[in-house]
Amino acid sequence: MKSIYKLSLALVALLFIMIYCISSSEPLMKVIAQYRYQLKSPFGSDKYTYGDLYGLTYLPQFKMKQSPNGDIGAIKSNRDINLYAVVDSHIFSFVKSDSVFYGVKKYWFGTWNDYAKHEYITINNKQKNILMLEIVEHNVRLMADTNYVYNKLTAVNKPQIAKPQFNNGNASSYADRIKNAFFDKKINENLEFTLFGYNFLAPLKELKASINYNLFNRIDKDVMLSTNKQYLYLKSTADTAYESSYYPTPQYKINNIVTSLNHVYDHYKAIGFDEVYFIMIPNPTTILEPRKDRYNYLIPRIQYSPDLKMKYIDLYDVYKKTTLQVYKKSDTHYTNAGYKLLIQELNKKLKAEQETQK
Amino acid sequence: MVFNSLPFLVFFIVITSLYYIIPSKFRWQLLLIASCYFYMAFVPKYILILGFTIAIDYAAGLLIEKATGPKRRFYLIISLCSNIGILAFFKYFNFINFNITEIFQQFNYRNPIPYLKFLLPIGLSFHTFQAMSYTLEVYRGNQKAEKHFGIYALYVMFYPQLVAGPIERPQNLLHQFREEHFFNTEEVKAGLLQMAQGLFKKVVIADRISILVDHAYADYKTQSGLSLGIAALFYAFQIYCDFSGYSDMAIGAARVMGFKLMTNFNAPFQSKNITEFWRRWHISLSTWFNDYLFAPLVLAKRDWGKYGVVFALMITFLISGLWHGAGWNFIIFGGLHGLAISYEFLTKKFRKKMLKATPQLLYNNLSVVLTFLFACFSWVFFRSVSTAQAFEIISKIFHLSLSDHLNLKLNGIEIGFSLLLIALLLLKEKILPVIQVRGNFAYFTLMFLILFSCYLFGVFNNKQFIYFQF
Repeated sequence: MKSIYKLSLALVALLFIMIYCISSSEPLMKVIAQYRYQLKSPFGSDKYTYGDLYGLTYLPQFKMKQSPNGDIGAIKSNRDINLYAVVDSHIFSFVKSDSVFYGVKKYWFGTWNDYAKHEYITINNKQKNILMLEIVEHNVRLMADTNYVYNKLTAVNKPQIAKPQFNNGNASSYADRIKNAFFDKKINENLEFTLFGYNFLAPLKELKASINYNLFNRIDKDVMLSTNKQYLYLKSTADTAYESSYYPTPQYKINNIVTSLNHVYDHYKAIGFDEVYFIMIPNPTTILEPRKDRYNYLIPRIQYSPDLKMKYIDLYDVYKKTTLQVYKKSDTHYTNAGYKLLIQELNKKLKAEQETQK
Repeated sequence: MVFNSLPFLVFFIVITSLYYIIPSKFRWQLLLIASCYFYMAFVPKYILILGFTIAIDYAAGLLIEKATGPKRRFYLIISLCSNIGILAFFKYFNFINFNITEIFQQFNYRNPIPYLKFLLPIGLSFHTFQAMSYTLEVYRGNQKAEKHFGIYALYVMFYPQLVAGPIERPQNLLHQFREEHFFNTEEVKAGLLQMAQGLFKKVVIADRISILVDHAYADYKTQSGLSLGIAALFYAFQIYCDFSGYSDMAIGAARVMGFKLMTNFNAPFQSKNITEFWRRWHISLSTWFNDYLFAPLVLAKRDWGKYGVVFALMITFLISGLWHGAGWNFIIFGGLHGLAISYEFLTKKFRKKMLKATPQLLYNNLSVVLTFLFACFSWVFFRSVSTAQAFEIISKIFHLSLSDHLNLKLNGIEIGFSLLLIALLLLKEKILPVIQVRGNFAYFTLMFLILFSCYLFGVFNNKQFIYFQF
């Protein structure tokens, strides 16, 4: 075989080996993804530009420009509260500045995302310390596992309170790490992003999505259309799956979650937090399509349980009553209006806390 | 790492490129390492099982060739028992245990043996049979024992056909690992075209039809007879496109590197009887059973006359059914085919008379339709998770009414589209079994159209190939 052909094949092999290795590396993929999401050129990625659910379906009618998250003003107040939070993307991708919180001087947050990552903090007991636990409705059942919560946050400045024993079941052994290095579980997804996740390919993806929807009445397997065809829902929140708003939830499971939340509440109060607040962000289906005979009433059954000690922000009631559009049509998150309502309710509580003598 | 996935695309490009870059004498190492990686992508530790059987069979081959007299048979038995033993343990242990439990329950006893909880090693049934074929051919004197352990290991593990065949014979494959394969543009193009066609069959046809079939079978209790009947007919094309699509990709991938694997399918829906069907369907398996089970059984029972043949047919097909899966539904599937072929064997003269008395066109077309319907009927057992489900579905189908409510998951347009694809596929097999493309422009245009169609119309729901579970 001619040398020029061999050289070409060698370059091709090298290129694809690099692509495979990069796609197998989670840290590298995170960096590349972050860079490409911000890139406006044809080589950027529009996976989240028009909403995360649009990025799954590529249905052209849901290609909606998203207004910047968290675009609400600062609030003026005396600031002497330390606010600690364990949150998901409903908070961490919307909160741009501590100044949205009433009375908050210092704001720290951790996320639920990485199970194995422990967060350690030091509490100043001479100041007001509030802990906020925010989670979206389809993940609320995770709260039944107290270790799931304890693993996220440990305050280390109270020596008489023993550190909780963490469940390290998910910690990787060396064998697992080697296996993941060679056979990454997310390799398919990562390769799809690396090879085909470009803006200039979006028209093709939209064409395919249009054919599937208009001719075959099918969309991406992870997404569902609302009854009025105005919204995209994450399918797991809208069908018969465990995380769905319609999944029948017997009372004993509610009781388990409440009991767990009470343990969590007692634990963090003993550690030094002055108060602990729990926020459940309703699934869009809960508010927009409750199907009265089928919604499992997970949020109200937890919040309104007479046994629940933990304080809560009642976003369910607020969202039910508002006429504002609180959810995005092509994204799993709420709109800035929905976010503003949450901050308003939280700030009411923070204001009341500030007025309470320490 | 399934063939219709991006990791395989990258893997194939890298391995094939490296194959043609490195000197010929190192190519077997590259392919062996690649095949190990390919296999380990499923469950890494199961490579140890594969390694164990390779070591046993490699040693057995050398010992059989060297030995004389009863010792040859002894080494052959060691090899066969180790292969069948591993297959039986991983694939049939729970099935056997379940039946023991059922028997014990009849006598109010509890079965103390626990069930095993682990995944079936991928491709176990295939590479075990390929390995057994090697020792059997060495024993028969048709194949010299392979002295090079690496080459032998590659024979068993060659990645294009490792997990779902074609089940190769050593006479066809072993020598190819020693030959130098020069870059042959026409063969590379033909191989890539075959892979593209296989991908089309899998993602455009098979995985589309599977939406309808899976829904019908999952919800069979509420489905009408008409819906189930349609699902049974569609399943025939799903399994054909799925498995022959895989085979095309396997054969094509090997062809790109200059290797020739055996044909595994030859337009099976043109068969006029079940005997012919098994000469056209999963040819590598049917010839394996013919050479290593049926023929020896017929020879052993030749004193029984035609009943010896029937006996051999039934045993062969019952075992063939069991090879497909550990369940009574699979045994029934095999048994049905055994009965059909036995019937054809016993009524050969009668049917020849019928052929003379009937217009040939009518006879041929009726035969093709009846053969197809019989295959669909047997596949109800194949597809069902249990015999109870299969019987219930068949009962509903036989009580169907044209006014039954249809609940097919695919809309009318998609069903029509699927039927169109099936019609085109059958027409292509009849008129143009092998597509010959002249000129680079025509070739690249055709490739582009096939691949673009795969993208545009493909159903990418990460559905594994059906035969991977065997």
